[in-house]
Amino acid sequence: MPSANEPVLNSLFAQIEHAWEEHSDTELVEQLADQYPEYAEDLFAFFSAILSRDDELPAGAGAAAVRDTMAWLEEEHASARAERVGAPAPALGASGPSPPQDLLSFLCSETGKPPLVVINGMEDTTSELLDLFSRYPHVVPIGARRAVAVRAQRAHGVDPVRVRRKFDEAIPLAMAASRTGAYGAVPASYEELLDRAALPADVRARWLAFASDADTEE
Amino acid sequence: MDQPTTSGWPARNEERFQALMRLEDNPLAGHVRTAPKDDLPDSVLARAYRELWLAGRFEMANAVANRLFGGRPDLDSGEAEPEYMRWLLVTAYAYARKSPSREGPDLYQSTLRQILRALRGSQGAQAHTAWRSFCYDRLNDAWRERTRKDPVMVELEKEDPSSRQPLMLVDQAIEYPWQGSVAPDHEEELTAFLQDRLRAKAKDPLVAEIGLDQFFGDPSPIDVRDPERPDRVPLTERLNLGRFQVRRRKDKARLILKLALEEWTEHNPRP
Repeated sequence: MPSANEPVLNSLFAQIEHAWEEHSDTELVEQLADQYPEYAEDLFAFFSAILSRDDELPAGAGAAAVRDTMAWLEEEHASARAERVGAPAPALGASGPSPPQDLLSFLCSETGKPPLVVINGMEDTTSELLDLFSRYPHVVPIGARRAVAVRAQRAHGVDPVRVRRKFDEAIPLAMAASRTGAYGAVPASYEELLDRAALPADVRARWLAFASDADTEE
Repeated sequence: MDQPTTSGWPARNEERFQALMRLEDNPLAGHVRTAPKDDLPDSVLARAYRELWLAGRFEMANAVANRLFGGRPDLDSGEAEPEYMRWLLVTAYAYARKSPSREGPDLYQSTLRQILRALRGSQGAQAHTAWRSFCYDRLNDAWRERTRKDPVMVELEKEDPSSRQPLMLVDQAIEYPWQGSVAPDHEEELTAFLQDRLRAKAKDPLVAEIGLDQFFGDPSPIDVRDPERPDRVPLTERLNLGRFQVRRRKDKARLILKLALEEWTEHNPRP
């Protein structure tokens, strides 16, 4: 079944999608199904899905979907904007505690700068890397956390202690959101996290070195 | 056809994306709101949303998200259907049809939220290069999160001559109250109603032909000849179609029949 853990299947999906969009090719799916019989049903299901645009829907379902989508998009935009610029989130009905900020949201909030400016100012840092650090703080070693804090201080004058504390705050949330089994996308190690960030080799090597350096740049 | 980029994304889409990103805010918002769909493919909008959002151009990102997930504002009254994401809505309904909670609308909205949020994170970095595949993955994630189980393989059945049986739509309706309820003594009348609806609603005559073959009486094999009944010609052979083409039409026929069954139930409530 489709899963982020099945790169082969995702690659086959991409091939089918490209073949359909570029050549209206309906035969590749059959060829791939023969070649990869273990994925045949997934491939047919996916192809059927991308061809289903004109299939029947219950009366009124399309209009209701648009109406519901526009309603939550309005809330989503307001909430995301508030998170990014550090403004108070608008009241959206149910009250409750504010969701905890992730690392990048925290840095944007502290600096008042948009995400790309925050990221570009920090040496050896990419949006993918910061996003992965935010999502999986429990696999980020102390040395790497310090390196992030040092870079945030150098580039934007953010208090490094607060940056390091952000990792600790985020851990319970990240652990709660961790999934296992077929849908477990949590990196098993710091090395795997760095692989996912697809960093240039020299940058990856530096982040790897920070992991084993308990006194990184301090 | 144009040359793809190294990621497999068509070069024409790269050009459209670059042209879009060069626009100042007002022209960009206007273009995103009104450009014909063919000039603004979904994958271009997806990438534009991510880049605009990361660049802090939130209002522009929002305009792009509104178009991608909602549609063109001036088409609302006329079409009133998701302009780009209808295929995902149909698929969400197909998944949900297998669930007693019938959560198609909720599943669809959960999926869109997952897509939007993933676009802003590392998962979204290459989403535009295989946009449908990316959305389909998020649909499966949303399904798992809502049901805590793997998505059923909707509409696909393994070809097994020994276990081949007609789909008992009428029996299902009696057995599962969530799908509707039908008095058994109306079975003949209901069967005629469903067959009429299938013939009337199927735009492709092969959909009706395959549906009548597969769901009423003794179904033909799809692509594997049954050694015990060699006289039954598989549909792929009889209709000169690939097995996916047959399955796809069978899926469509099933959907028409299920909607017809809902219509019947609505007008003939069981006492």
